[in-house]
Amino acid sequence: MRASLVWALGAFPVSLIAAPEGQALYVQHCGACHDRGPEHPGTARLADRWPQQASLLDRDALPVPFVRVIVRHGLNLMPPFRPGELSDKELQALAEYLDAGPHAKTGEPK
Amino acid sequence: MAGILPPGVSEKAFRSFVAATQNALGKQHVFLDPEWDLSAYHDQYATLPKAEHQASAAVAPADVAQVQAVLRAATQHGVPLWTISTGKNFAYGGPAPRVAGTVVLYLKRMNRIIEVNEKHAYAVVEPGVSYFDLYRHLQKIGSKLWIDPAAPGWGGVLGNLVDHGAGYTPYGDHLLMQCGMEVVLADGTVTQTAMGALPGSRTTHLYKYGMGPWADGLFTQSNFGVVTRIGIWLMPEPPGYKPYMITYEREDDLHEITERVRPLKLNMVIPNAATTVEMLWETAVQKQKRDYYTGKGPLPDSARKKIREDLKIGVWNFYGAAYGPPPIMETNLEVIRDALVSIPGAKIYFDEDRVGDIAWDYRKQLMRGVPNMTEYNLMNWIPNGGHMDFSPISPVTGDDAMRQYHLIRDRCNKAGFDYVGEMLVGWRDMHHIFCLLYDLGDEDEKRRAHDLFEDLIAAAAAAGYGEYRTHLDFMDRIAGTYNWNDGAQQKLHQRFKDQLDPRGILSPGKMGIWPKGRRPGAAS
Repeated sequence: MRASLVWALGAFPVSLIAAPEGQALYVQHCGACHDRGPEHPGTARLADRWPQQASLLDRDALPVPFVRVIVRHGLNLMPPFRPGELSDKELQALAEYLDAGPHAKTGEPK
Repeated sequence: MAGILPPGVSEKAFRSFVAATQNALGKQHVFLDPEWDLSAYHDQYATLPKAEHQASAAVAPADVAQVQAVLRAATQHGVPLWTISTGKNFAYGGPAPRVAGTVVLYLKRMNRIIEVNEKHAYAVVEPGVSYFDLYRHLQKIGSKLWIDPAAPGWGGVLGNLVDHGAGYTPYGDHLLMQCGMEVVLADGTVTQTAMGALPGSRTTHLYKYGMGPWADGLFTQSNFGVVTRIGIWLMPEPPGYKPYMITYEREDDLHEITERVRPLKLNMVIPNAATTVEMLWETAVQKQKRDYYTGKGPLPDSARKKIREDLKIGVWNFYGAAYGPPPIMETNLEVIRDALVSIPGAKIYFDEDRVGDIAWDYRKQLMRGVPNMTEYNLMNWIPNGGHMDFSPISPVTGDDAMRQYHLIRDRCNKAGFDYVGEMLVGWRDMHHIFCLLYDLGDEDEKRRAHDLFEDLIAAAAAAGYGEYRTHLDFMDRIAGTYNWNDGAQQKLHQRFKDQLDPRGILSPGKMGIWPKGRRPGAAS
């Protein structure tokens, strides 16, 4: 049902329909390393493979299961995140937010 | 990887412990699956096989009563626990336990900011509160108080403090700024330390020492209790803030910089961590090694020269800041300029001179208490980089600075690694942080990194230098260097351990402190 909703609203910026909770979780847990700009170590690392989409905010293909595996197991310099800091339910919301990208804004003012 | 048992614990006893903690905490807060749950308690940057520090389970209590329930079950079934707060103590082992099979006592769910006192400028926090959490909370409530974050902002305020961490504002000595502590002892007793021990105390977070011995220090870098709450003094936002950076052209300038910084720190002309950063630290937070050199081993001089030109940095780069009303800042800056910019070749820079400079920007944030993660870019220096920090303390003299620099850099280069280091003057001491970077995918490189670390410990100790903090793999080794008078201090620690935790359930091996019968070399 969610997928069809996304499809139906395809003409609108996708960030409008992403769960607000997912965005807040992104800001809380991910933004410091994955926002736009090479001062963010995750973005700097991913620029090797995804020069045009180095920030997770700009990625248009981050499937939910992929996000879940990386968050729970880590990758390169990124250590895993534990259920005590990010519950399975929160991880699902976060992954859906990233899956619904790209996103225009980071959510946290500097 | 299959699940494992805690050392010396039968499967039956372990199951009983798990059932008791599930009952007290809820099943969803007891983690057992080695593949899906417990991989997140590994040290992401381990140089040894991960099995060396694999947890058998992790338990995440939400409050003091649940901590007590876990301690009760651990005592009853003889199960050892490894206490972590946010679990981000990376470079020193992260969330992983010292001994494989230890159950991780994970306190991240205890994440309340209990009080922010604007008038007296302090906060009271639980172990799960990160620098980001506290910073965002202060922003949200419109507080005019600053925090003092460790360089990686996701670290825990309490966890970093009890591991003797440091930051970059004038409140950078975290333990010095701690006031008031709540501790759960191994037998479940909850105690408030110092002034907090007085019922109805009005000064718990205002005066550190109370009456009688100051016990708080016993619960830092130790395994004598579980710290569940601390008061932390916060710096009131000053009316002015002016960070600066001074670049130096020659390697040997470190001697003169250090000599000139000492009186400026002793007299508090520089109120914050006076930090002298070697050029590769500055480089690694914004460039990759392959941008300048694709060969093996440390960066050659020709590449180092090119980097200095490209990034407009020196061989050494000094960072500090002035704080306060503008006339005070201007006066202090005048003194600093006279002392530090008069070294031949020195150049001073301010914010307007370093636009777009990543290294400048993150230090400018840290020196005013804005948490960020930029320093993790160090690991991007090489592909698939990991890191461990070797951190000896030095006197603030030119001779010592040069001796330590050569002691580390020469061995580091000989072992094929780049020297990535900085020296932070606190007050009368200097923390020398050498960030050892290695390729996590290269087994030979990890082995060499481990061996280099061993070599550095021995060389530093022989020269009279001890480390202030260390990775799990070197805790025994470094504790063993503090061995004056037949190891009298270690024996003292062990006597505390035997009295406060006779069953030996709390963090066995933390900083080389072991329960009776499990001491390395002891007959069990």
